[in-house]
Amino acid sequence: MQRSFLLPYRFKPIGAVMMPVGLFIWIWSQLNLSESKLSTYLNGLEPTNIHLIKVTILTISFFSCLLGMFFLVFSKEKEEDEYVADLRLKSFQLAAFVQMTFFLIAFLYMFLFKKEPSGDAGLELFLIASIFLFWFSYISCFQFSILKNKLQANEE
Amino acid sequence: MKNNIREERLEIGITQQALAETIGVSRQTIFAIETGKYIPSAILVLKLSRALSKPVESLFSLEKIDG
Repeated sequence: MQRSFLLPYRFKPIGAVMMPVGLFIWIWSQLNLSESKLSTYLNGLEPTNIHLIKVTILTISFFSCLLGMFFLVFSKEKEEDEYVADLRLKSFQLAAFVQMTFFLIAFLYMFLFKKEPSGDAGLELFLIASIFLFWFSYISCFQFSILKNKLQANEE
Repeated sequence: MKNNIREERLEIGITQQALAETIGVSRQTIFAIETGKYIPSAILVLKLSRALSKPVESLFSLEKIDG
């Protein structure tokens, strides 16, 4: 039997909570949490401290999303066997295909319409989106396959 | 590759769960094998053969598309 380097199953529910909560807080903070709003809530604080609080919220939420994703992807299923390993491999293949297609279309679009990500921030966002796209495709495909098979097996 | 695991299992009167426990996999895996969604490894094939007391050739057979 192949040795698996996956984390124990107990990390999976932790990841399932951390990832969406972290992502939600990160997106919400990016869109709604301005320093002027924060200064009204936290009356009397120095502007540098308010900036520090915002950066801390963004950093913690982003890293909890990443860590949650790591736990979700690299933890074992309740009953881990070779069928689950096969589904894992197929999901990785699909995720790689989705990401490569995204890259092809994005670069073709940039080449044809002469539209490139503006500045370092734009490029950073583009790369983060492509990395997230890979892992989101993997997680959704894997969980969907597991759930679909479980439901069909239970119907019998 | 097609198989007749389901027929052999029903013949000796054991459930998917019991067979899964005997060979150390989940019930979902037995279901996937029986429905042809998953082709098991050689190790699992030999375990199935031992659990059902049938030779491998009578459990699995090649189809035309397998070449």
